[in-house]
Amino acid sequence: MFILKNRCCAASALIITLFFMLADNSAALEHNPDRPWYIPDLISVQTAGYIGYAAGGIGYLCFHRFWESTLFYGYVPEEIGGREIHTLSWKNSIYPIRIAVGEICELSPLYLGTTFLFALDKSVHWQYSTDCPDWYYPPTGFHVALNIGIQVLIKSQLFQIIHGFYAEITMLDTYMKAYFWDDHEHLAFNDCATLALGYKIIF
Amino acid sequence: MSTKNLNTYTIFTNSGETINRKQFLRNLGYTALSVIPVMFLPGCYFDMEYSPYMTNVDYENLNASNLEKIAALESGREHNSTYRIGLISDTHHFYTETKKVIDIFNSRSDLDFVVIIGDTTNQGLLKEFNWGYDVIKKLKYPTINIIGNHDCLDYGIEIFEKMYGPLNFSFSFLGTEFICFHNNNWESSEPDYGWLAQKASASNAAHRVLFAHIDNSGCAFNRFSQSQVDTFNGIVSEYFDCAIHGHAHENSKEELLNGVYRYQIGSPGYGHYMIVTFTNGNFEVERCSF
Repeated sequence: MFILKNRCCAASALIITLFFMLADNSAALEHNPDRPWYIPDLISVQTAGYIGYAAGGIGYLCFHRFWESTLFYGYVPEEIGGREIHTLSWKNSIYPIRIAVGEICELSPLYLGTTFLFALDKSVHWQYSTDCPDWYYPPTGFHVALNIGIQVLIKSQLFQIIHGFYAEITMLDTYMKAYFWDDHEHLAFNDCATLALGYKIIF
Repeated sequence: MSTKNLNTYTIFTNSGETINRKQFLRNLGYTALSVIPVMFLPGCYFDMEYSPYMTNVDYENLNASNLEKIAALESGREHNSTYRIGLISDTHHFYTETKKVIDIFNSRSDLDFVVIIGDTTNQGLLKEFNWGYDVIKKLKYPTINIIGNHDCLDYGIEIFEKMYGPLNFSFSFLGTEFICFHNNNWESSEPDYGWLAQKASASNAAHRVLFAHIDNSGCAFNRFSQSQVDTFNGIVSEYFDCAIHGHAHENSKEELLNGVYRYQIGSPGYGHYMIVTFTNGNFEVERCSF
């Protein structure tokens, strides 16, 4: 399995290299600037990254698509998660690097983000007992995660929309503490982080 | 709308521009070259986790299967013969240190089984339970895990029950009854002292040992009411030979309370573990540090 993973990594690295060799810097994609501010700029679906087996959300773009803010509702069915899970996630990402590729593609090779995750369930807590001191446990119904991702935008040739595909590596606060503070020696980075895949439509 | 002219292979894009087939294929190529690495490169190295609150365990009823192994160790040995157990508590995220204790235990050949006195997690998350078990399973001895206060957070109780079994349980080994008691009341319901008293009084064993994560003989920062403390101490004094706890992370306690020895096991994170040797109702405690 390890060898297979390494081969996949090498193949993907080769594809990326070819991709940059073929790339040319034409005009970046732009979305419709005439829409009223209160109409969402995008809809998005995502799987994994702690926000759900299937998560759907609406989002806004600001500062010429430099900053993206999306509110997701996430769901994990009982067959997948062992119990039915509902979450609400507020995800904010910035795209500091954007490279136009050909006439219809734009690549963001590295974007950074933060996700605030809220569990929609009474079984998780903000405080455990009226007797329990406030400092005793961090609230477990709320988590923060950090994301690093890569995104491709592709201008539709049929409709006035932009398709976005992204993959991101997400690390939850609890696992971040475990990895960076508690036991860096035993835990590997990929033990503590997860992959998320998503698709969005920018109007 | 897009139309395709079969003679000229032109495509009208949404902006009204016309591109030829070559341009269209080039765009298609860029699209494929963009999407494929973006979607599949990270998948070579990372798993996908849908939620931290998942409870679908990979292992089930581990305590039951280990109790069967412990029962099998009794065959051919007389009751009240000498046996030895290893004790660990509060492993939390101290995996490297826990592995050191496991290496110490595995380097010996005189232990019969190992008991973990709770808190193998920090927040009761499934991933933490799995991390903990990935370390614990390297022990060559049968291992029993009891629940700690941190294991009860989030859906930890549900995960623990699926993965290890009941929260309150007991087992006997060579004439001693070991009663494992869940008393993490801030994080769960109040301790079931009725079950504890009933279990201890119903036991015909010559000796009884209590394992409970939190030392219930005092109020423990107002965790227990005086009534609960009195009830617990009454049961322990009446039925048990010794009570062993974790929670405090230090090998800090060894006291005789109402004629019963009470011990507190420290955490591997602080370099502590314990070995107890039982011989015909007497026990010798080695409080070890590394």
